[in-house]
Amino acid sequence: MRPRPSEIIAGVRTVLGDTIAPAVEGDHARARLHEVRAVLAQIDWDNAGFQLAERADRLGDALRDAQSWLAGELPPQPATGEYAALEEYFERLAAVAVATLSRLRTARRLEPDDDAAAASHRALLRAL
Amino acid sequence: MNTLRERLPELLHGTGFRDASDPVRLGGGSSQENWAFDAIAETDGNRRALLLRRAPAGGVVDTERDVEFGLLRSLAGSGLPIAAVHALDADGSLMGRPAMIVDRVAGRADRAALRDRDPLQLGRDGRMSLAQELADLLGAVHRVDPPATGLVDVLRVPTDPGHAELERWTAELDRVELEPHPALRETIAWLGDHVPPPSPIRLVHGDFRPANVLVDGQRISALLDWELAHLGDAHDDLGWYTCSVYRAEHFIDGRWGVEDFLRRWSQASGIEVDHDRLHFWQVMTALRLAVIALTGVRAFCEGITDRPAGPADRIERLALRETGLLEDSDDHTRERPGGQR
Repeated sequence: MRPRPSEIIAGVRTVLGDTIAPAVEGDHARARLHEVRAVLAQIDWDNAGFQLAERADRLGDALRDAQSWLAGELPPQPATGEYAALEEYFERLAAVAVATLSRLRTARRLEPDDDAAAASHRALLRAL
Repeated sequence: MNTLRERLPELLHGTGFRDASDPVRLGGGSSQENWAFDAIAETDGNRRALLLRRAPAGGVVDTERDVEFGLLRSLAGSGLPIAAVHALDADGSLMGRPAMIVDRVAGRADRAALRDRDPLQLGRDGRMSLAQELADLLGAVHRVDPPATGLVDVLRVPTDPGHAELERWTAELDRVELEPHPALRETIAWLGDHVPPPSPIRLVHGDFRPANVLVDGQRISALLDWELAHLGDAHDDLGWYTCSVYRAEHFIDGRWGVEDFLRRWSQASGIEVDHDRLHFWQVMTALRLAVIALTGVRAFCEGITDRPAGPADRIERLALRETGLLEDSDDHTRERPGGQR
C-alpha cells in the first residue's frame, strides 16, 4: 500500500526540514524540531510491528527452552494481530524473563558447573 | 517568558546586577532550560552576559538546585574553569521552577568536538590538544580536596559509592519504567555482584564529556552541567567517559584512544587506574544512560515534555553488552574494558 509508512515519514521529515525549519525562530524551537526529525528517522516504520513479533517469538522460544527455571506461566499468544495485543504479550513475556533470569542466576551461583543452566542463561540473554 | 522577565529583577536583587534584558531561551541543555540575558554590573557599570538555568517540567535528571548552587560556590576558588554563580531560587517560588543565575561564559560546546568533521574548527592539532586538555581537566576535578573546599558540607558523603549509586539508579528505574526491562534488571544484578570496595572520596562531575565543556578559541573556557555532580569514586567519571556508548565521540580514531586518556588522566590526578573498578563504572554508566533515556520516554508518553523520545532498546542492550555477559560471539564489535578490542 502506497505511500508506505516509511515514505510518509520521510516526506514529513523533508517538509519539516525544507519548509518548516527555515521559518522557525529561536534556538529552542529549532533544537526541538531537529530532535523531532531525528526521532522520526530512528524507527523502522514499515517493520515496527514485525520486529516486535520477531522479538516476542525469540524471547518466547528462549523462555520455553529454559523450562526448568521458568518463573511463572508463559502468556498465551495474542488472539488478534493488533499492535497493542502484541505489545501486551511481549511485556508479559518480559516480566517472566525478569523472574526467570533471577532464578538462573541463583542456579548458577549454587552450581557453577551446571552447563545446562549456563546455556539457558546465555540463550535468554541473547534473546533480549 | 513574560513571567521570567518580570521576576528577574527580584531574583537579581542584592546580587550587584540591574537592568536585565529580555531572556532568550537557548537550544541546548538536555536537563535544564537555559535562558540568556544581559544585566549591568553595579560595580563597574558594564553589561555582563548572564544565564538563567531553570529546571524543566518533566526533566530527565532530578537535581536539587540549591545543592548545585552550593557546589559551584564552593568551587569558586578551586581553579577549575566554572561559571560564577550569582542568585538562586531554590524552590521555584519566583521563577516557577527551581532556577539559578550564573555567568554566561564565552565559548562553544559540541559533543562532536573531537570528531573528524571538526564542528568547532579546531584543526587536527587543536582537536588533539583538546582531547589531552580534557584528560587534564578531569584529573584536576579529581584533585579537588572535598573537605578543604567545603564540598563535604554541600554534598552527601557516601560511605560506599558503588552501592549508593546502584541503589539510586535501581530506584530510578523502578520509578520510571513503563514496562519490564529484563536486560536492565540483569545489568543491575551484574553490578550488584561486582561493586568495588570503597576508595578515597573524590569530587565526581557525573557528566564529563566534550559536550559539557565550552571551548573558546583553542582552550576550554568552562566545565558545564554539574547537576549530576556528587562525592564518590573517581573511576565513576572515568567509566562515564570511556563507556562504549560514547567511545566514538570521546576519542580520536587512530590517534587518541582509551589507554591514552587513562594514562594522561592518571598523571594529572595522581590516581592509578584500576581496570576492574573501571569496568564496574562503565557498566554503571550504561545503566544510567538507559534509565535517563527511559525517564525521557516516560515524560514524553505522559505529555509533560516537549522533547521527543524514541524507544530505548538499543541503549538497554548496550548496557547488558557492557557487562561482558554476552559472549564475544554475540557481538564482534565490543571493545573490552580498558580499551582493548
